[in-house]
Amino acid sequence: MSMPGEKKLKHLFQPGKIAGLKTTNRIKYGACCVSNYGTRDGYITSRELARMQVIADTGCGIITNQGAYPDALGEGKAYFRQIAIYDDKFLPQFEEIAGYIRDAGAIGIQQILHCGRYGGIDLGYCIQPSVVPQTLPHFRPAKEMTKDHIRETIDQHAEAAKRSIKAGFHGTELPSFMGYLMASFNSKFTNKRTDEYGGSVENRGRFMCELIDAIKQATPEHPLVIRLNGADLMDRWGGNTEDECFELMQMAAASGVDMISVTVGWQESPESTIGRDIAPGYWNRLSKRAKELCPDVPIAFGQRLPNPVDADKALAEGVFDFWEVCRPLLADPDLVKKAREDRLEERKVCVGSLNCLSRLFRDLPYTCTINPRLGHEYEPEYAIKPAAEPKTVMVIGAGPAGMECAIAAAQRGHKVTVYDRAERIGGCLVGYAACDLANKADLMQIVRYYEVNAEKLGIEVKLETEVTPKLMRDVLHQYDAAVVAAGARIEPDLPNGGGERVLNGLDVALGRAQTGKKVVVLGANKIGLTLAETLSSEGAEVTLVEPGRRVADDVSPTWKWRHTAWIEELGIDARTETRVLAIEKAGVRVANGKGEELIKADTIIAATNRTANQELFNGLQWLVDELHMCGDAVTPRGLDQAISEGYLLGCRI
Amino acid sequence: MDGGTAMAPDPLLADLDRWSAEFAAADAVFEALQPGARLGFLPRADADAMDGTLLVWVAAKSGMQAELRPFEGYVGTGVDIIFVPEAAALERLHGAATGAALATIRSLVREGAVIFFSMRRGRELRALGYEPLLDALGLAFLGACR
Repeated sequence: MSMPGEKKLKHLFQPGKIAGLKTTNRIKYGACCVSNYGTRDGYITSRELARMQVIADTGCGIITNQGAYPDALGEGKAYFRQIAIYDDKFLPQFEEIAGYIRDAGAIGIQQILHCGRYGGIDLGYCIQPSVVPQTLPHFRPAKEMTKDHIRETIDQHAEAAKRSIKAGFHGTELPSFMGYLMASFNSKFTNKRTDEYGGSVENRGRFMCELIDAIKQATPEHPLVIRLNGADLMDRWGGNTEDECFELMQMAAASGVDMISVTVGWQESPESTIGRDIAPGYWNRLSKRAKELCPDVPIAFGQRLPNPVDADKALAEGVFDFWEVCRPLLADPDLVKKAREDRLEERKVCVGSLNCLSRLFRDLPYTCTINPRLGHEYEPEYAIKPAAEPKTVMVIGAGPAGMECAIAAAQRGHKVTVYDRAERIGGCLVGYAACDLANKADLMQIVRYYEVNAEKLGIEVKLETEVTPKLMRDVLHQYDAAVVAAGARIEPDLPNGGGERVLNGLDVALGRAQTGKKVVVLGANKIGLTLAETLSSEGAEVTLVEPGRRVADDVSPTWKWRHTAWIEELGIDARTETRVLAIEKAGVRVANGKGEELIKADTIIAATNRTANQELFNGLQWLVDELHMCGDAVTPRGLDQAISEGYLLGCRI
Repeated sequence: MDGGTAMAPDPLLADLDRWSAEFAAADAVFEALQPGARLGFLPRADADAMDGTLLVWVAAKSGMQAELRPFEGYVGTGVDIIFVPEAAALERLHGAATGAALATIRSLVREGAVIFFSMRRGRELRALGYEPLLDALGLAFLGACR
């Protein structure tokens, strides 16, 4: 341990062991979800190979390759471009990935993922121990497995395990979390069988034990990891209790698994598990219990534990043996290196926006809000390469688009100056974070990343400095390039903008305007919802007025249900298909299918109709050699587009 | 109503006047349903026992028609969606003011006191005209992303 961070996080960086194999540290890259970068028929693509080269190089002691389905029919396939491992024809790319992992000095584990209840994406049905319908219409009607089918499926898993070892992986992993096939046998919610595979915990766990046994027989010299829930969060619907989950875990331990990866929840569990609305460390108790009940098997855990410092502390306290981490490494593949070098303040932080999962369930390849390179590692356009000639670059706007552009440009050798009229870096994100019911601190970590890295890279940041034509004349010819990242403003579609009676939502979010106790928010999209939620949580009586049919239209699928739940929990009156007729002294006059009504209010906030701030772009046309624009200034959208667009511009400027 | 071979249903479930009034009050939500679309209500105790009575509402040109069917498992129920309320949830639903049942189901589903089962794929439900109902119940927002 020679690096400064290794001394600070000595538990994380101490060597470990799995089935007699030494690991360089106690960090396991977990296959948290599939990337959807494969071909439609299950082959690993060059896009995926490039991503895995980056992952192999993260510095983790154990690296798990994403779940591959083991059956030729595709009953185990849940994701549009999930990779397959049912035939040797897929081996060459698995061999490459296993090679990357071995070359990096890590232990390579291949996950065999039969998705069961969520599978059959190309078939129109799924297989389960019993026919229990889906609670999410996204998935497919069920067929009950016969005993022959069960045996055949176990054989397919054993073959897949042998193939994984043949490809060069050290071991394999069976996932029984999230409601996948094994979980559906384990659970009394989905397992209603009356034969030896159903009924008691012992019977329900039989399939799991037979799978473990088959894989151990097929690959006796190689470690087998099992992912098991400490809590399914399905007990309200008749699923397993936590006690039953741990009984099953003990059965797996007794069956000879070499590591237990403790997880939480099913895809259809009616509560949050890994979003930023869950406090870091919230689920640690499950891992602790696993350690107590299965003392002879190494326990890996990392659900909603994104910070290496917290992980090191938990390791010291014996909460788990290996920190299992995935999304934080997708957000910043250099996380472990930065931890080792004691540079954690420079890391990009996973903020649990779950953009990755949202896209998977729209059959799209996953991407990351925070890391624009994810999934583009094979594209040179996304790489930071030294600039052909260093330029002086002026970035107007210190929001996410502007700061991403500034940092990427500075990393390439440009001399960058950022201007913003606000008193701090962050743009509208600062206001959004302040109103984020889920976790204000998480989003502010993005701002912190910009502050720290701007300083480290020598980016000059001129705050409380508005770029005007006069300023531009003053700095004429000082900059080779200018980037307009001035964001967007709210311009309500009301006569005279609603007049003085109507506050601007961004001003309210940023604390520049005071609000009363009876509030009407115009617009129930992302800005309106977050304002309504935070004002309501502070005691105001809030009504949302939305002309569209639904609230949360511009919100990602991952967060729509959270906002709708918060609206109900907070008792916010959300009026959809309701248009504003007039702003009156007493409140807002509206009309909908039920007729006209005056909603009384002491505060009216406009949170809709965003307009791009493009005036500067037009004004600068003849004042600078290169002129660019990015983020909401192009057209108002969200954080992920701002980050991606700013970064890409910084890569090519 | 065809009570032929079915077991006696929960009296709250079988209070057809109550539910008919609710369907009438939420006419706009149900009018998009294609004739023949079927919604099932199954008490949680019957669902757990895999035995009992399924109350089925069938969309017809003249409005929603009720029928009772024996329930012996989910195979072959012939319905598109099923609501499975716990006993207390069914009581709360029955006691809600006329016109408030959809909002109550919405809350109960979110609380976990009513299980929503989809017997068809999402696109099939949309083709059968379920989108306004799923919207009203907030089910369109239930994604596999936690």
